[in-house]
Amino acid sequence: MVLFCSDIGVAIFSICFFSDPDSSTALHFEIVPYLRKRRSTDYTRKLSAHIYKELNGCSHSVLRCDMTSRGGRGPSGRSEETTQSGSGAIKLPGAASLYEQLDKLVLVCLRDGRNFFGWLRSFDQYANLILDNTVERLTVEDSYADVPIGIFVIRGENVMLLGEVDEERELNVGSSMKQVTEPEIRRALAAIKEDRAARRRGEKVEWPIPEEY
Amino acid sequence: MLFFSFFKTLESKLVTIELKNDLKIKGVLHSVDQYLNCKLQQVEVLNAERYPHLLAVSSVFIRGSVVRYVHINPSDVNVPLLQDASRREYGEGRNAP
Repeated sequence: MVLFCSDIGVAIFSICFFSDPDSSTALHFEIVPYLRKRRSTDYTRKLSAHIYKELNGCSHSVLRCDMTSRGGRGPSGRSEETTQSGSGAIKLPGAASLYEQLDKLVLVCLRDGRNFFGWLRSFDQYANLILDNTVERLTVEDSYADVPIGIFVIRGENVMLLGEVDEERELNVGSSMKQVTEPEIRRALAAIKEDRAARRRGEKVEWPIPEEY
Repeated sequence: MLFFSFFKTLESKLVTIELKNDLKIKGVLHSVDQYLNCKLQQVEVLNAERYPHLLAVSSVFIRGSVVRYVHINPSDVNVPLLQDASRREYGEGRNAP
């Protein structure tokens, strides 16, 4: 698993995950420098972050981040306390800010128009994503069906948008749209496809007739 | 780099991002990175009737590569400063070895 973490615009680190077998609540992560700082080659920083997995809701929050520098400028220890999406959290730019969505229900829209709902488990600087308990949402007009597809790894280039889902609002959406079973929605999709194909072959006229006629 | 710095000045401003699939999303720009990936908060989808599943979304991360336009309030842009900056960048580029 790789998590993306930026040293405030200086370097990018990838994190190797070592779970601590002694403790069920704390995971110890070793952070290895992914890119060295360009200005000084011996600038290698070793970070270790203690990421605690909260028991309720299974959410990760970086509670402490120690940075020590080896060589170069001498030790510069730093300790930061952040909680996810808290007001005091460090604001990481762009893709790194996805850490706020870790272990939250997210909606991922792909470039080909498919939509997935799942729990974001991991990501990296390219917005490659790992979704857990994923469902693909198939929509036809005002009816939809959720097709469970388990764990899903998405290559970043296909991601169009990732949205954090407000679960309360999601329930309200359910009232405006009708949930149907997967075979029903598949039939509806097949009908649409067949309809389009028939029109293309000229067996069926579009109604209302397009204005250019 | 110029556009990255420019987008950084737009953080916490209200912008509308239009994607390559015509989806228009309005929201407060939370952060932006070097690829111009954007994160918006307090999101509102302007053409929600085509994308009903986006109604439940409160904050979005948009990959920079799918953005077509970013609509900005003119009052958030300092045009003379931007012109200066681009001239400076161009000048540096020409004089670079």
